[in-house]
Amino acid sequence: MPVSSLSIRNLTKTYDELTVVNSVSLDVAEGEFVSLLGPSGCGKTTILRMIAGLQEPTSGQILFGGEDVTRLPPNKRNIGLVFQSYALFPHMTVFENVAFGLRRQKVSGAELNARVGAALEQVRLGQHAQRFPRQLSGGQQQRVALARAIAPRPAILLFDEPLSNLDAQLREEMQIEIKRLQADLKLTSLFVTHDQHEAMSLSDRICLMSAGNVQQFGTPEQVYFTPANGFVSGFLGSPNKLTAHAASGGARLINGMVLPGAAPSQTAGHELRLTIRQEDITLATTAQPDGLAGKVALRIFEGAAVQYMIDLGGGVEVLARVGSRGALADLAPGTPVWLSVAPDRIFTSEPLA
Amino acid sequence: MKASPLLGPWLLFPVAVLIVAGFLAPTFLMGVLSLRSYSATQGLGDGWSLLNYIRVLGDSFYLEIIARTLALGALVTLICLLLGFPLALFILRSGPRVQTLCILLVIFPLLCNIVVRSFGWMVLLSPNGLVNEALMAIGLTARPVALMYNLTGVVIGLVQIYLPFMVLLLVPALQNIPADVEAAAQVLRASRLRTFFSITVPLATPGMITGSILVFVLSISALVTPRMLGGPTYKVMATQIYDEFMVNLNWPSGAALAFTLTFIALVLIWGANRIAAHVTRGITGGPGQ
Repeated sequence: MPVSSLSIRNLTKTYDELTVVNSVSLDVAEGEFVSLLGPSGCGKTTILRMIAGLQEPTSGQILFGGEDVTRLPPNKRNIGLVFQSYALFPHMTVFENVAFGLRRQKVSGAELNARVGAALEQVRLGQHAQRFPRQLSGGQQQRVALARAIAPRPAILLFDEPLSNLDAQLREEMQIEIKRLQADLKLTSLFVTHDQHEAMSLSDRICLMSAGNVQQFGTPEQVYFTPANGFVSGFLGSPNKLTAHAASGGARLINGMVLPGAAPSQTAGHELRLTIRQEDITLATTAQPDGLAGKVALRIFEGAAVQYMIDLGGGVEVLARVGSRGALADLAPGTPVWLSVAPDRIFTSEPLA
Repeated sequence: MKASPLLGPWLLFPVAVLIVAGFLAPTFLMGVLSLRSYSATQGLGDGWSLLNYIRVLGDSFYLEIIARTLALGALVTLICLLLGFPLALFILRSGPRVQTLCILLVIFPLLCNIVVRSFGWMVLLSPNGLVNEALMAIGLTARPVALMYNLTGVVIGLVQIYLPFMVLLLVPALQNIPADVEAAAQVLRASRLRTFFSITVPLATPGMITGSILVFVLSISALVTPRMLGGPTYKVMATQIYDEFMVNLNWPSGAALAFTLTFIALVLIWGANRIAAHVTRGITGGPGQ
């Protein structure tokens, strides 16, 4: 069956008074990989389950390649779904798990064997066909789940936080596996995650959500470099969030220091929230004309990077991150430093309530 | 504080005494008894023989009772399973309030004595009982239907008594099936019916087997209900054992019959466990890699 595009139109889900998904519209092109990214409770899993037909929307439409599937039961939708919990059938062998969807399509005999074998080869588990799921490791089980989802050649592939139960190293391996598989098969994919690194490394486009609303929908570069609002800039990267007031030529932090260039258009005295990514902060050990003077309070070695907590006095502390092989990698606590940020790297937003 | 290594075994002491004194010793005495000869004048003869067993297994009277008992057990188990499974599913898929209410209703009959409940069924099922009166009143039958002193009555009574056990074992078994697994089957194009038979039922098998063994064993060893609803003529092993001991005063014969019943039960449990282990080899068993 052919791969199809996916569109959702004004999709809404409410429970009693609570709106979980608030009129979300979204288009995923044929063969595109889109992530729904957001903190837990933002409605991303609910959207995925509605697309799968496992939950019924309160209102709105779901279209697969232009065809309205909103009221179709899950078994009539031609989708693949990879669950966070793997959801393998424990009483069936790996082979039978992968064959389950194919048998429902009336595939049998030599073709069944060939297609199950091919799907298992694609996730490099060909030699484990006769094992039971519980005899496999977590990573292997998730690969079986992946093979089971792709074997019936679904029009759309859905992932519900599939990597959350795996440890860090396995997660990276599985990311590569998913990326490779998706590129090979050119499947239209929707990937739900709360992990921004996962979303950025896998996706063609990211849909950032919070509280049931889409905050920004764009390429990883777009959402990272030009965040649409304070939520997006505060969610991506590992940003410092500072309270400040607009002042002439910049933003005045609560300790009285003025950060040049930030929020020049606001009227003086207006309260702001500044988001500054750790990696966008430039440190210097000699006095800089526009630099904010502080001193190193804490040094944290992370391997590829070194993180400093810089005390600017008056209760303002800022985290900065530099390369661990650079000249500034070895600043001892107490060292005076001057910190500056390029004005276009300071994201200004209204203070959050 | 360090626990004494002896403390563990000593914790078992009270229950060990109970089992030895209250179960193993009497069983041994019964075993000895079943091998004694019978004397019509003294009850217990002086000799030793296997005659009691040979008589039980060679006499068509006893063989019929054994067959009837096993068929009764199988029928009661099957009906409990067929009635209990949907009920357990319903309980599981209801809201918390309905769930609590249903569980209470299921347990409620257990608070009532078996004799009282069996007598209640006699009131309902007798030739001039409520059920027959109703059937005749609406013209479905001209004469009373025989609803007791036969298989029907005993099955009705036993199913009502043992259904709660089946339901109480099936609910947790069904609860253990992750919702995602059933959702996964549906997403893989399985209809609701297919999902039920391919996923739900196989994954509930361990609970179904446990419940079935329990209900079967309780049914074939039940005494009061078969006696009351089966009457003096409808004999099963438990009632026959009782009669051998208390009416015929043939203790060796009763003991042999009791051991035969125990042996049959053990073989069936062993067999059911073997089948269960094979069917559920993916679900249970040792840890994975």
